[in-house]
Amino acid sequence: MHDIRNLTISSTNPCLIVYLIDQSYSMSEQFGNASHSKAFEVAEAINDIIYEVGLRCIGSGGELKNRFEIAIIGYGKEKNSAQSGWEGQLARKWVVSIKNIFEYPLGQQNDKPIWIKPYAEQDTPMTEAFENAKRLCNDWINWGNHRDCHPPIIINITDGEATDAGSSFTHLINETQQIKQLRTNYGNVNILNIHISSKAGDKSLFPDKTPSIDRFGKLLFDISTPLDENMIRIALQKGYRLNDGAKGYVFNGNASDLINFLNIGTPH
Amino acid sequence: MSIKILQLHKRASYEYKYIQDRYAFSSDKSVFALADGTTQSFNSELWAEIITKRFVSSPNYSPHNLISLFKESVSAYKNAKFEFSTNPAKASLERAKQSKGGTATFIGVSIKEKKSIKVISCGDTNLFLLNNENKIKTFPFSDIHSLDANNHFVNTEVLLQNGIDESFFKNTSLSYDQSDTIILATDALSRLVLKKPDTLKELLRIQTFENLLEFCLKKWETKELEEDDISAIIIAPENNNDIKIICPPNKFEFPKEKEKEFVPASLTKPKSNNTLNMEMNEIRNQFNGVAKDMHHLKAKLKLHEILLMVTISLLMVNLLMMYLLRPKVNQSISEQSNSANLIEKKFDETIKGLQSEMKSLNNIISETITPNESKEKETDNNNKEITKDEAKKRQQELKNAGYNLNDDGIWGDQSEKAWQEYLRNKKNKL
Repeated sequence: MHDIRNLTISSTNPCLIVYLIDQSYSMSEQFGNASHSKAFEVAEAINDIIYEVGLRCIGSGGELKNRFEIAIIGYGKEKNSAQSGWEGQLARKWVVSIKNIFEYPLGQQNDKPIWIKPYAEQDTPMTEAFENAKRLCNDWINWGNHRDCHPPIIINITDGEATDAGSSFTHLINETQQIKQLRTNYGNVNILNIHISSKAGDKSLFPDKTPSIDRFGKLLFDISTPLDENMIRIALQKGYRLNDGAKGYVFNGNASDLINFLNIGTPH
Repeated sequence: MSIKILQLHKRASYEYKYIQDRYAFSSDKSVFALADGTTQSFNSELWAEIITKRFVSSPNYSPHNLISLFKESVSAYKNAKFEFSTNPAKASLERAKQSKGGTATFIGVSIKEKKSIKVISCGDTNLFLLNNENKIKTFPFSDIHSLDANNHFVNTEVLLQNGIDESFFKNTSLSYDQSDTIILATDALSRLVLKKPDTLKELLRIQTFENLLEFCLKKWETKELEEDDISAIIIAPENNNDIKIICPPNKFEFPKEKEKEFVPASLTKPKSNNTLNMEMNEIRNQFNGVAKDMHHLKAKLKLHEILLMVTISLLMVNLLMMYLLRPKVNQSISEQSNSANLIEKKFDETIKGLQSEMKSLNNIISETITPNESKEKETDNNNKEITKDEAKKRQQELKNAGYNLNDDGIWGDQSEKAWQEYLRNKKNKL
């Protein structure tokens, strides 16, 4: 195993980020005190983080370097189905390099490109989304020189309970366990979960112990991996208090937590 | 004093012109500056160049004064022309990046004749002082952890907003021996030296670009060295005036890797295609099954055909045999009818004989008896039937009486004539 501190994410050693987006009906509810729905805020946050990644990849001469490859998997837009969340000219693609992402935006909003639109449609087939993410990460790791790259990061954004997790969530647990076993020479695949909520309640931000929350919240905590050094550094910069062994999990996060969460989870 | 500059761009930049580290020095003033423009910021190499040159022209080791100096330099950076991309999404990025300004680390050094070194630094570019006993002094970072924890950079916009205060800068004076070597290195190389101090000796042995390239490639391959721009200024106060700049020649560039698009094999086949493939396989399997069945059926049919042929031929043979061996029914019937005719003929002949005998007897009776008697006799004879036994008995009696007759039981005219004569003789004797 190589020291990840010696790794610079570059076009020769890119990093894969997989965003799993809950597009179930409950995402149409208002997001806390925000004026928009959860689906809208999530789409905005994803568009923002892609733009942010673009900013990290654009060279000082204006050239975009393929340091990141991004997958968006939406679940719940269609019944019992998880599919690629890319639209427009990127539709049907699963993984897109940052260079191509900026070649084919869906449109512009406030002088900024957008790629994702909000959806809040059906149920919550989260297990299928993780299953797709597993296959995708496995293929990615075994492709080209990707074993010498930063391990893929899966960031799941949801507001509810999986409808296809099986009894005692065994299907979902199995999928995530298999994902956690996937690895590059720099470490294992990371899984981060943010449980957003329409209620303003007690938050649990990057806990190190199982928080006192509902059983699905506990499950999301269990399947989340600990924050790595870079994530901890960024989380600390953003003012989060972290204990040793803090996990990449947020419960009852608001819109601001969502943006910060995506920033912390997306390597710099 | 000898000065050696080592520079190599990261492989991802391909060409030396894209290196974001910048250095400046004045051998006359013994002032050196090294800055690492950050990739994340806009036109950072320009900002790195501006601040290094400005420092060398006006060295200042007071953080306050240096901040002012750099702040004045921001206009030079901002006035530089830049052509935005024609791609709106990229142009948006460029504008956003430009609005965040240029960012760089910085280290400035003056080597004083009184064997002291003045240093001022902001960011993770580091100084190493190596003595002839191979002992190393470092500034500002003495370990990787503190180097990685650095969060201070010189940014144009933050400068303009007075967001950079004196705490961003670290300055010191170090004493040195004439035989010591002073090394300024950007973050990747500094990290390697902090981790493996012996690397410094390897670094000092580098005399050509080939040496430098070999050193970096080897360390990159073994992952000891971060894939980043590599810059170092090596100063040996003891040596004669000698300036050596070791950097890539004009024609040198790292090979551009072919951009291959990653396509996840297990997900790219659409589900409908999967289904289609599954269906096709199913159809193929079923077709194979049908073909197999057909083959069996054909084999069975052949067997049945053969059996049928055999049966038909057997049937035909049977029929032929039946035909050939059939009983000759007509012949036997004709034979039977022939024999029947013969019997009939015999009977006819016998009947004719008997009829003629009866005629002759009737004539005798009519000659011998009166017509009344004859009428009675005739009636008697006609009424009286003689059985064969009776006839045979009478014939026996006649024979005993000396009549020449056959005792065959057939009672004809001759027998009747002889019987009447016998009766008359018998009556006469009485």
